[in-house]
Amino acid sequence: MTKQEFIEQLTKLLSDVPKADQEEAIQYYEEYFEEAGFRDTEDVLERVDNPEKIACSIKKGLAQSEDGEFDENGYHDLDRENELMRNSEVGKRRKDDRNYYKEKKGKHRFSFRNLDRSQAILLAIILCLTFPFWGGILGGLLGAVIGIVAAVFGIAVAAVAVSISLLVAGVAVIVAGILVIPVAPMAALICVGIGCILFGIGIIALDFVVWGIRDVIPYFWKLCKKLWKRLFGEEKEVIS
Amino acid sequence: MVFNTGSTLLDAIVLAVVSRTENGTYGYSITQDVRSVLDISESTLYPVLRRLQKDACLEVYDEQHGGRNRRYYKLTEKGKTVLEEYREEWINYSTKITQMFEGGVKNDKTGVY
Repeated sequence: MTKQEFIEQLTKLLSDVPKADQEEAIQYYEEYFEEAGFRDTEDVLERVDNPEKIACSIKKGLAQSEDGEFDENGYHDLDRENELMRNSEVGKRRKDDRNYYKEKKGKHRFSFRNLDRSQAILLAIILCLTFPFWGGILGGLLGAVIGIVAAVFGIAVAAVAVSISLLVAGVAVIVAGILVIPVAPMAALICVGIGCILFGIGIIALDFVVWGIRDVIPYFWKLCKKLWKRLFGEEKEVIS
Repeated sequence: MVFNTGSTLLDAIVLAVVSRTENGTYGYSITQDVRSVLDISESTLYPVLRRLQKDACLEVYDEQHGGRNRRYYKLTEKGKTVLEEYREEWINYSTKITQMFEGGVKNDKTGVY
């Protein structure tokens, strides 16, 4: 393709853009060919892209699109490439990723952190005005939570007390049994036996207490934390 | 080159090339300068120049040179601001990438490399 043919074809391809834009583009390439010293018979396509490609990227520029990329192969129309890629695995995955981010950006999840100043003030006013309604419910819930915590604490204390008293009682009965050996050996043996049984039950009880404090309470604590996070802490993960 | 040049980076390079001459420079010269660092086709720059002109980053004026018309491109005030932004962004970006190549970016949280 000579430079004359190139100019003619580009003119034709740009016939649907405003006259001024068309003339300016033609003027640029005419000037360029002169500056670069192209000979009349030289094949311009060895050094420049084909007119179709140029016309396409001029039109894209006029339409204010930036979804293009340049590399050693020239300008890529990413929209068109995406069309082709849509059927391939990689293309699909890339598209899914993009949609995922779009969704993530677009979805407005309610959270107190997302409120701006005026919304926060409005919310505060509404909360104050409706306090009589939800105050009782909140108080009830708070009472229930405190009650449960207190009950757990009470059970724990009772369990500790029971196990310790079992141990103490066991030791006491064993000691008492040993003391009465000279007087009533048979009764003494029974006493020592009962003492051992009490001591054994005490150890089992203590084991339960230790297990409860070490494993069960942390488990519930974790459960509570998880629940809390699900209700209020969602945003934290995104921010950090 | 194995790395693609996005259209924003090409914009930045073109603005940088044009900014090097106080009174502006013309299409052929800009193309040669850009081609000294990037392997682009000789026809690539017109759409870029046109777009930058449309975005008011570049202004044009014509001057006769050796009996021919030459269209000169020159940075506008907006163009200078935009170039400055690009320059800062690029330093930021390229420093991080360079650090990464030279053994990893320092992890802010743990303080280890």
